[in-house]
Amino acid sequence: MQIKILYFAQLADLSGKPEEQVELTDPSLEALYQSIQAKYHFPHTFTQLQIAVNHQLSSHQKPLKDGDEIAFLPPMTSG
Amino acid sequence: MKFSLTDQIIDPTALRAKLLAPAAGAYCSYEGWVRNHNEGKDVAELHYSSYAALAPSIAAAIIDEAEAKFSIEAALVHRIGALQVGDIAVWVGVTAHHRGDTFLACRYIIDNVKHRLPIWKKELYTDGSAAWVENKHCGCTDQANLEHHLLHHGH
Repeated sequence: MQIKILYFAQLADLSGKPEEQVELTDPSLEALYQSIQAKYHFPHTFTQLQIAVNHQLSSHQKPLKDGDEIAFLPPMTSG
Repeated sequence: MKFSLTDQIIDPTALRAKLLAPAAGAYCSYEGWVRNHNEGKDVAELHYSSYAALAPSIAAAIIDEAEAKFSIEAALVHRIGALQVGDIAVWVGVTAHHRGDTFLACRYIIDNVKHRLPIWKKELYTDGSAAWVENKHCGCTDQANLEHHLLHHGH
């Protein structure tokens, strides 16, 4: 399946891009995060991040499906 | 419009005027300002980035919670982009029939915005270095205000 990953803040800086398309066979969000964490040296553990799927906050256990847009969100620092 | 993101200077006088209502007897506002120091470092400017497709629904949820918990009307504006020392980064305005709820709701909204609105700030220091700010869950937040979020999101 094809999914789009959106990167924000520190994750955008470290990956050097705001988004990317990836081809996956494993529907696990944790497996996906581990692969990009290793690739880009993200400092956060999986559980330190919130997750948005298709622009809505999601549980960490939600299975991915073709066409999803995923964002791994570092702790927010607004205000 | 109860929430907006803007890359323009926030004008609290204009925002306050939009909340004026004949039935309102009290108004309380909060402004978050860019300060020139953080954790011992001299800050030159802040860069705020947002997840603009997610922020409106989170802001609406926070305002809905405040309006359900208190008898108020509320509005929230957050600035994004490059901000200078002294700029307003976030503005909250609350009106009500009586003053009590305006103070409590204003505090509720800003405490939850700090931890839930998908916006991140990067500090640029006077020595030329830069760093993404880490959320240290400082003691300035009233933990009671985050109870709902803690219960429903598990962190």
